[in-house]
Amino acid sequence: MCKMKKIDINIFKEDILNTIRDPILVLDSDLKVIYVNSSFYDKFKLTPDEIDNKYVCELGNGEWDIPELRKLLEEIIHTKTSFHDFKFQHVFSNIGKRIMLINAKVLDGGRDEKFIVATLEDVTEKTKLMEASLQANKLAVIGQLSSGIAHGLSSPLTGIYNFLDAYFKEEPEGTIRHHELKLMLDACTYMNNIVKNLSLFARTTTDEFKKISLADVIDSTLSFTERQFIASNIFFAKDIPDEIKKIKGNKSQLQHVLLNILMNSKEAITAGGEIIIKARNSDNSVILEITDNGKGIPKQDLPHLFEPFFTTKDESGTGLGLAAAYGIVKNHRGEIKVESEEGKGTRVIITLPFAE
Amino acid sequence: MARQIKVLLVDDEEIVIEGIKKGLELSGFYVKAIIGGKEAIDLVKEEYFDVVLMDLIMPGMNGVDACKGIKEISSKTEVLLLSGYPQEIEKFQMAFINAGGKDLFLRKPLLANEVENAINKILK
Repeated sequence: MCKMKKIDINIFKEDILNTIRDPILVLDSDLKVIYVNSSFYDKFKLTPDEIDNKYVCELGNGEWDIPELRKLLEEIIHTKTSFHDFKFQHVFSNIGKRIMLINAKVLDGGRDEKFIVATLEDVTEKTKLMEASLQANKLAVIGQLSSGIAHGLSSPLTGIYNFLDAYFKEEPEGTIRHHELKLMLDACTYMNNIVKNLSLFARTTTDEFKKISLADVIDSTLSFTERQFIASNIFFAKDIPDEIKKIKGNKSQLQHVLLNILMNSKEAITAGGEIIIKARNSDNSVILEITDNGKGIPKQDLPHLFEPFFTTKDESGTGLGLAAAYGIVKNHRGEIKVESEEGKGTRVIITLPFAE
Repeated sequence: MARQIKVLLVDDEEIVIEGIKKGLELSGFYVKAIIGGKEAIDLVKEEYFDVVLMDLIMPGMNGVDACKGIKEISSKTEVLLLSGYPQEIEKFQMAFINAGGKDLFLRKPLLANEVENAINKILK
């Protein structure tokens, strides 16, 4: 370690601590703020009036009153120790929801004085990127597995499905065997759907891509579903301006995406409601938003929505609808995400690049 | 009465070709099913088929070479590709078309009526 000459405390505070990008907070043993560096003001968008001589729990009109953090700080003051990488997620009124990492250490100031020096790091973006990358990797691995299952089952299923279909057609109606064959045939159709959806999720389809209009995809999907929605007291509101640019894609695959999203909305809307379908052009993509005012999705379910076989429906769902939608949108070089709040509703946002 | 359409099904798995054969026969097609690309070429030497439904990945001769061999013997016979491996279709589709195959690919799992629709489409 290099030898550091004794330096003036003001130089240390103004020039050294203020060059550090991470917020630094110094507290006395009563957890009252005695110093913050300039990054602290910048990061949390607070003025000196809002910080100086305030207790830590009073900062930002009391929004720093985070019980877990307070407990930890009190504990280290008491034990003269430190803690590392305490991660907390908090909604700050000035800067919104952030994920912060905090390190703190108790320093002995002599004459029974103790201080806590705490450094904070905003890891919101880092955490989001990491989660997105983990999620993408996970889906890629599941994709490989799905593709293997779909391919492995495709030949035997083709055989069984065709034999059953033929026997069913040959069997006179009204016999027990006719009924049994119908049951087996329905089971085969169900398996066939699973295999098809798994292939869609695994992005292994060879369907043709053409220059298509999203308005056309929406209209055609609504034309064969609108009636059953209206019967459930669910109404559509559409905002699809004429200037929406064309995209390159496969119409029936995109209908499949839309249909799956609409069916999920239908399930989520229990006593009548509205589904709003909006489209707009961004710089290089069309953005499609489907918003319902249904019951919303529990927060803990949100990260799993695109995983195959993840379902919140009791018996009715295969858990492949959104997985297939994800695969299809990715195959169109697009993005799909879901925002939801319990009790308020869900919004699915799909971004699809313009046709070149 | 219209002439019966003659179809040859080629795959390396018996259950696939026999299953589709049964369905197509119910719809009135004349169907033969055979395992293997080389065996299919030998059969085409003896008998004319309007359409051959050809699997792509098979042990021995693959679907592309088998298609080429069939077209050399019977240029009027239309050859369609059937596969459960879309990536393989993507990889081989140009070679298949260059070998004289149709630009129409069928994916397993499928029902005989989908095959029937495809046959009606290309023989129209």
